[in-house]
Amino acid sequence: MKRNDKIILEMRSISKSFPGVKALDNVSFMLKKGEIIGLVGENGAGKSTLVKILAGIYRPNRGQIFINSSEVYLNFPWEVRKYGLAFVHQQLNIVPFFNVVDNAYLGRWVTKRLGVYDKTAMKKHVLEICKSFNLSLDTTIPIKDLSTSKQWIVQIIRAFVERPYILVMDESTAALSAEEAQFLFKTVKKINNQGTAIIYVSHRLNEIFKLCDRIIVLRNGRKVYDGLKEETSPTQIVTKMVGKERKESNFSISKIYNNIILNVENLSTPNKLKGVTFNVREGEILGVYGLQGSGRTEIAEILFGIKTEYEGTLTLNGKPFKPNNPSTAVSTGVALVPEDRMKQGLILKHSILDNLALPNLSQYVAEFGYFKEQKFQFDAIKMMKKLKVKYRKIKDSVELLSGGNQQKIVLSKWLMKNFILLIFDEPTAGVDVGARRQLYNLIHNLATKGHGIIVISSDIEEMVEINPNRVMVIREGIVAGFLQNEQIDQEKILNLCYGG
Amino acid sequence: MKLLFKKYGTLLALFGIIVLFSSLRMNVFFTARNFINITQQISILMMVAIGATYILVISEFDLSFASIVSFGGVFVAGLMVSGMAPWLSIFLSLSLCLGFGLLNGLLVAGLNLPSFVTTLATGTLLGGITFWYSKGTIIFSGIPEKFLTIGQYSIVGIPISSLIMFVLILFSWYLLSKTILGRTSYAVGGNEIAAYYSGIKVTKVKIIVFVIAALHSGLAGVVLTSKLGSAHPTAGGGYLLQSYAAAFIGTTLFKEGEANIWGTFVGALIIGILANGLTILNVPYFLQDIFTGMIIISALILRMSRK
Repeated sequence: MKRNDKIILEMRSISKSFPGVKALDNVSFMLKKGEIIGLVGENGAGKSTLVKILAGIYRPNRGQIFINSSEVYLNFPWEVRKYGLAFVHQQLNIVPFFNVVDNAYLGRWVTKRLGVYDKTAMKKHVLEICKSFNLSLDTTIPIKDLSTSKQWIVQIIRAFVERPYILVMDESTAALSAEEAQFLFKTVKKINNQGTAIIYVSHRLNEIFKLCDRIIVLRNGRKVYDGLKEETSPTQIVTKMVGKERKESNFSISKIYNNIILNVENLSTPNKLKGVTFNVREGEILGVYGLQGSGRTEIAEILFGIKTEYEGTLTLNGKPFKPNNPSTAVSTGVALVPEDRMKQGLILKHSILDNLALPNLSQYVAEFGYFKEQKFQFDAIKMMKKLKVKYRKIKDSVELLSGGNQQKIVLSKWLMKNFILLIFDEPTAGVDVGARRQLYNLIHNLATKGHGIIVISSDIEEMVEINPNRVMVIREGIVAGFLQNEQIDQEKILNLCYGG
Repeated sequence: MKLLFKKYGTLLALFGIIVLFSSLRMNVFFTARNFINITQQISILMMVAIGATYILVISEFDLSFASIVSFGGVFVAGLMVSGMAPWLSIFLSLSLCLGFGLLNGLLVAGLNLPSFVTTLATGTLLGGITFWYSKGTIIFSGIPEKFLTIGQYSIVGIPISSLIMFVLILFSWYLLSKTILGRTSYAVGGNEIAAYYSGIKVTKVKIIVFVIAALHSGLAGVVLTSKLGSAHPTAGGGYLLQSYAAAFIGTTLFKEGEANIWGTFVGALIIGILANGLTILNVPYFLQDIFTGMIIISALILRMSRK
């Protein structure tokens, strides 16, 4: 780490707004040559927006960017390369059946004259990079046959092929296990040793503390901390991320009955969950908190019959429960409001009515498979009134509705039939504040009626505001701990979550 | 006005074509007799196109239609020539077509193979079987007279094949727009994942749809053999593209952007009337293809502009 005080990147007073949200508010920071900065913050703090501005994907509303003391305008993603910026994004962008060399040079293959593609030159360069990282990679086999961590390394090599000044890594370890991340880590250090400055965005505080020289904390679009690693501690950083103002919930705690609705014992999957054990009682709201890739969504997928490769025992209302597909899960009384509303929750082009009908068709069937549309429409409109959904006509397509109203439609699908256990996965992603409150209200109403509720969320404020009976924190596939209602606060959750 | 055109442009095109041909050859084209004729001419195409409609509803492809039409026609003829009673031959031929649709469905939905290539392969396979069975020749002698009534006779002035077509249209209209199977099919086509997450048995729905589609093609083959009085191992060749053309034209009408039976019927009418009128006008065959191609492209542009 040859650090000196030469400033190679400065972002000055950057602001960026999206309709209804101020994603970045007057954020400034500097990056010195050879430095590693850790950028942390809760979901929605503005980290991704900042990265996307650097990558030329978003343009800031205000502010300036300087590289090597001269102002630059990063208007398009393909322009940033010439300033020595390179990115490793959250998703693995590889072509599975190309080999390492082709993937490393994807889209900018080196050519000889007449556009003949110069395989030897590229291979030589990739091998040199590998050697400098002390890595041995088989460059001849398709990349899909390499381990995930090696695939990520190829992604980093790709960013490194052009010797960038500044490498930005956005949650590049989210999809990796701890050991795999370790491996990736060493490579990042080596890159840094060769003089590249790194902006490292991560949820994993221990990584940040191991790797970075300086830590910047964003909260609600503002920079709230910027200091050397030696001067702070993980607990302090968590406090900065959460902020001073303690969120208090307005909801009174839901009354729990003795009857256990769901019992999960020793739930394990081949590459994620390890011995997850918990239960949900009648009337209980169980919060499940975990970072992306922690295994929180896998739990929902297993309970809803989407993932069937697992070990462990599930019991629903005292009976063994082994859903093979959503259809059997639904008929046994499990309902899911899925994580991705657009992809998994709704048929966007279809009408409100058609979407509501999806899981309820068999309850409105007459002879010859006839669907009693009139009767269903009557009931559907009643439900829409009850949930105060704002819409023009019940036959309008759902894509015309706001996020909050769309989410109410997804929920209504299930409210029109009988269920025992209702799972919400990220219930208010992309939902405005007003509709959020209404949804939390609905969740409490359903619990009061004696249903079991699981709310999975990566939004810490949401977790506190819903005021669940208990919160289960998942960290890297294991249950990091439970917090009883009176213990729930943001710091305790985050400390469990980061293993602090 | 613009909106009206976007919404009913395809219907306007249909009327335009009718008006054009009527003004050119009033006495031959614009007669009740000729219109009845047209329904008979499009009946086989429409049967295949109904199958195509189902397949488009679930957002898949089935390229084996042509082979099923040929197989259905050849097999029914072969059985009758070997002495089997017509009704039993029809039943057996359709049963095999049903089985073939089941195979398509199991491969595509059960094993999750891409439908485009899969049905291209199964279609090729079935084409080979048909050739093998017929030894590559046309079967024409020995087809019982009774069997020919289906494709060649009329009841109270309406061709039997047209009647079969109308019955099938009504049946599929009911199934697709009034029953829960129809709803689930549209849901699967609209967003398979959301349908699955709503507890719909996506695989089962897809298999049923492939079976229904294959049955329609098989029936089209049987009617075709009856109409021609002979069975040729590649007789179904022309129906594949035309059936999808009709169904695609149909997506511009009634149910916005989605395949539907009445839309497909209008599509088949456009293709059929164009062929009929241009033949009356003695326009060479290749021009008909050029017109049909242009109409399909216009329909697709219209559909795109609506999105």
